Amino acid sequence: MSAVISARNLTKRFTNTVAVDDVSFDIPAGRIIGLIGPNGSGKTTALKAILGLSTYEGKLNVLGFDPQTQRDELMKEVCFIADVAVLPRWIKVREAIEFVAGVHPKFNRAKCEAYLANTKLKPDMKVKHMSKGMVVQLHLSLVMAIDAKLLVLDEPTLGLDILYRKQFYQNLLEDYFDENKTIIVTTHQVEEIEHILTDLMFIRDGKIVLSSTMDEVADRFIEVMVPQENYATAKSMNPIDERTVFGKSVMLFDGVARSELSRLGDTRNVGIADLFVATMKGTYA
Amino acid sequence: MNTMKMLVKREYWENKGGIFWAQVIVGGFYALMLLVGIVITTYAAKNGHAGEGMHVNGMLVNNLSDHMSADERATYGHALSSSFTFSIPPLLLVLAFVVFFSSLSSLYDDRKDKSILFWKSMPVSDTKTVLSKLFSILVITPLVPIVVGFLISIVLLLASGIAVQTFGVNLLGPALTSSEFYLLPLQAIACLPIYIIWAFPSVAWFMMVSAWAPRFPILWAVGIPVIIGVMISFAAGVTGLDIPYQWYWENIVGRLFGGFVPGTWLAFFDVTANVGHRSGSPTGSEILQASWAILGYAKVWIAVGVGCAMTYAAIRLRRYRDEG
Repeated sequence: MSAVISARNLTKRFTNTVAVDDVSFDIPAGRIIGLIGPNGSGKTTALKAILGLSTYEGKLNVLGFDPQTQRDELMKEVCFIADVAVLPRWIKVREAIEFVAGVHPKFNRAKCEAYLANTKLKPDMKVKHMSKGMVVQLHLSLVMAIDAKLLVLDEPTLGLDILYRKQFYQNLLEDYFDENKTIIVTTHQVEEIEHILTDLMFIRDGKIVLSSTMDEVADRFIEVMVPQENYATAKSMNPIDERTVFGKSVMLFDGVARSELSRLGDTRNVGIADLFVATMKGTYA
Repeated sequence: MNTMKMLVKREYWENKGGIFWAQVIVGGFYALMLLVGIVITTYAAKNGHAGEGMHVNGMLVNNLSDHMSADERATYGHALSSSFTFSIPPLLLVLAFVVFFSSLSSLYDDRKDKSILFWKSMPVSDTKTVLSKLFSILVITPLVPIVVGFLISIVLLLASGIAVQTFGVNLLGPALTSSEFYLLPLQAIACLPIYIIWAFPSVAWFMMVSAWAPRFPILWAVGIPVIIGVMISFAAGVTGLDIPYQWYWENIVGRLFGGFVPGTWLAFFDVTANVGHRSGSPTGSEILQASWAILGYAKVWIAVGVGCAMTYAAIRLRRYRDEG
């Protein structure tokens, strides 16, 4: 199976820092990947390289194209929302739809209008008169109506209330996603995308520190509620993280068999948020 | 080609304030002032100052009566039918400003507000984007003042024709049926290619700066050529060397900023020998001929070549400039 994205020794240097540091990975088709990392870890930089928005060192292949030299062809198959992207202030809802319909062969106008029907946006509204959340709603409606093979969403739900965020991720999974598409999402609200992800990638200081499927994550990382009497035994098995909930210790183990852990106490699958915190310990130290 | 059409439409949506409304508002205001002038002079001429006649498009129309000679009739008819030459100048000045500022903002504004990332998420090449902006600035924008100017000239013609009519003189008919009235706007359109060729290098420089400038593109676009000029003039003064700074000011700085203003090409080349030679005042066809004559000068084509290089640079900058 050919990869949708394949990176080899991808590196991006800025004057004083290395934002992406010699990273290699493959992303197959039909996945929803959560790219999670602290602020300044290189998420956006990596995505920009993938989208041909910046130069880089190393090899990168996206849908069979080189993003640096074949960006024009690539953009017919890819769509994205960049974290800081906004729609221009002067544009009206009607004009935005007409524009995308006019330049994008894979835009489905009816679909876009159906999404917009669920918002308070009206065709003659200008972006400058919209609230921040409404601008994002318009942007998402436009992008979700494009039948792209690769969709990159860099903090797509900034400024949206929780009702709309839930609805959006639901639509993404039910209406948009299929086995021929690949979606990469970054967000700080990791709990909200947990249930739709098929793959997880943690990035820290420009390096990928974890890359696996959600199933593998569930097998590999297990949380145990350790009662007081088993504390010392559990501690000796090198938990990667430990916290206290209502006086009980909750320990996170990496790569220890569930059967073994269940003897220590109640086991459960770790949430991405807790796994993230455990993995990123000391980031700002 | 449909993408290109959509992109030009997009330019119009974004810039209709400058392309369309600025012309309509300035033109409307100007026409209103002229109309008030016509009403006042008509009123004055009818009340005690009848002997002084009235001004029509800058020409004193006296002896307003049906005793006018055929010659007078023809001359005044001509004054009326050339009202386009009176309606167009302020609009061309507005055009110069609009072209100046829209070239400056063309590739900068969407970088500033980050909407560039939205435009770049669409399957539109940077070449098409830049060319659509160039087309909108050089072709669509200059068409509007010609159309608005023609509409105003109709209003002026009707108003002054009716004013003269109140004295029992019919100039309206002859003016409306004179070919000149319709020929002038057509000659203006025929000058449009010259304006495009003339303004292109200036617009291309501004667009290139607009694609590159980290902030305040106007300071870079204006500042770089002016500071270089000051420096070489200063160097020439201090060292006493024969540095052609005068040439620089005329052919680079003057040419750069003059490029935005329609008609300035006549001042740069020795092409006006026949203009206004016969009748004293320049006719539309004389100006048109002189304008097209500038294409015979190598300087014009060198500037076009430089413009092409700068447009190419603008496309490259648009493509590869890292937008943090």
